[in-house]
Amino acid sequence: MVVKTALKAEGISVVFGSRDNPFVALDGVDLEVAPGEFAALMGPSGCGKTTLLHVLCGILRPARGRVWVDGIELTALSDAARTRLRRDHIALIFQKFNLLPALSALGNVAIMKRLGAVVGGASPDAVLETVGLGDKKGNLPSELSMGEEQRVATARALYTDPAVILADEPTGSVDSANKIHILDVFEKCNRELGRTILVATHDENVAARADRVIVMEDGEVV
Amino acid sequence: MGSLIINNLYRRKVRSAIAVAAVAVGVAAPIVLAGLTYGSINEVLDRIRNVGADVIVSRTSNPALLGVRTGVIDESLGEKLEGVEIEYEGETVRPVESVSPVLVWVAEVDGRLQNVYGVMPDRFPAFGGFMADALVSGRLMDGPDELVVDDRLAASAGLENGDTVELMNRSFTIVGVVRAGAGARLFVNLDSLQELTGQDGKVSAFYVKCKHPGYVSATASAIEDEFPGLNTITMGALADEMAEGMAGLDEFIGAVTGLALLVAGLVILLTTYTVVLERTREIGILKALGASRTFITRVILSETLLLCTAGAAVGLGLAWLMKLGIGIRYPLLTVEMTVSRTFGYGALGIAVGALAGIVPALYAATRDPAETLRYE
Repeated sequence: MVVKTALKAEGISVVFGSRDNPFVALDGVDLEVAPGEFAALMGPSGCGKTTLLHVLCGILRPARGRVWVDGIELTALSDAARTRLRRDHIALIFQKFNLLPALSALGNVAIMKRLGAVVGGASPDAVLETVGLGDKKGNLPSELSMGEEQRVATARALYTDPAVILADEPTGSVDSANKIHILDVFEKCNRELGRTILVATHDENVAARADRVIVMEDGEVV
Repeated sequence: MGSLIINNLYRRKVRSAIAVAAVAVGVAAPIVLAGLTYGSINEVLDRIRNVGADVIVSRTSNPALLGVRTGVIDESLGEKLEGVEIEYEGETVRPVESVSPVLVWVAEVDGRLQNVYGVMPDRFPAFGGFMADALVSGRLMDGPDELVVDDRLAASAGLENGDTVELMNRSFTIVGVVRAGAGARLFVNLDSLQELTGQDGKVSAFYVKCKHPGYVSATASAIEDEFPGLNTITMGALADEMAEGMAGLDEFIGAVTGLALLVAGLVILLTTYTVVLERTREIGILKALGASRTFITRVILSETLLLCTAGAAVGLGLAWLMKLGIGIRYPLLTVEMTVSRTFGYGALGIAVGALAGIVPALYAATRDPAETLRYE
């Protein structure tokens, strides 16, 4: 019986820099995350966690190796098809939130539908209520605290119906109250909705909530 | 997508305003330039046409140059012109209904040089035709020192009946104001102007009216044949010549329009390109979230289109204000703003701006999100 993995990477290598001065960011990384699993990716700064997340979501094409998301080989797809796959199957949460400054909190969540993403049953308002920002729907990112911005980013990820949530240091810039709130939301998504989550983090508290911890060092999974 | 576009433009108010202003100037400048050029030319043409003659006889082939006092003709020739005969449908006919001698001179009124027509009021066709019901106030000139002005000059110079005007060191009293649009803006009796300018018995041109439209062309030819040295031009030929002259002007206006729109297009190109560079991160975020190239292109192009449309609308308003301003500052100038030309330039402004936005939009669409997000 073939067990479908939510995320699978095989022999991923990424090299930055020039031919004369190459920097190996990822060196033959193999990784598997099962459907419904909550995994934490840990390692020191510069070990390649963010680069690996970018490869897994298809915004960075590896020099070598293959990636599957929800059973689809991402690395075999065209640029446009990878964009569609990312939109429909993967939710991204960035360390710097990456909200669109021209849009309100509500607009930042609702934009996913405008991009053509398949959205879940909940409305953008309801998702913002879930992350505790029902009263700040009309606020622009510049009018929100960092913790609130990260909660909007989380709401944006939850508004779609992704197979996989990839989060890069989601609690790195927020205070402890917001951190707990965000982790509660992640846990709820994982336990109640069965979403697969891979979180890159330095934070032991985040790792403690995960089912499994994957450790990286110098561009390799150890 | 609408709020994303509008909010982005609103967030960069100064840059958006500069882009709108560039398109506005690019649209308004050719509208006003073309309006002034065609307005002035058509006004001259209309004034000659509105005299009501069929053939103009002079020593110059271009009646628009009559004001330059090129050549003079013996007034007595008028009687001979009345006796011209032509062959028409197998019969010999006398085609001329009336001949109106006109002496054209130039005088300074209200600080500007103006053509003065010396005419015989009872024979000048416009006074019985175009201007028959157009006496705004007063009466036509009768005595030697009487002057009739048109209403635009009267309004511009603040003249009214009873006022005296110095023409060539002689005082004339305004006895009437007529509707503008035929011949000159100032009319005096022919003999007064002849005496004043030392041109006794001389005229600049004859306005000849024919008895039948079918006689016009043959009459013009007959006059040229019978009186060597005289030029004739029919109203139809005059219109053709003016249209030919305008074709050259079209090229000039086209060049100026192209230049104005090129500058506007370059400003839009630069603005859009800078916006794209500034928003590299935003574009990267959108692409990372799954925005297609089409979506990114549409966002950037929609912003550009919105800027250009706003610019074109402001440009039309600006052109109208400039027309109004010119009308107040220079009441004798005509700015002709036709609907087709005005909206044509507006549409051209939008098209050029949108075209200028395509390259930055495509550039934005092909940006690599990984490059943007790698350095966050």
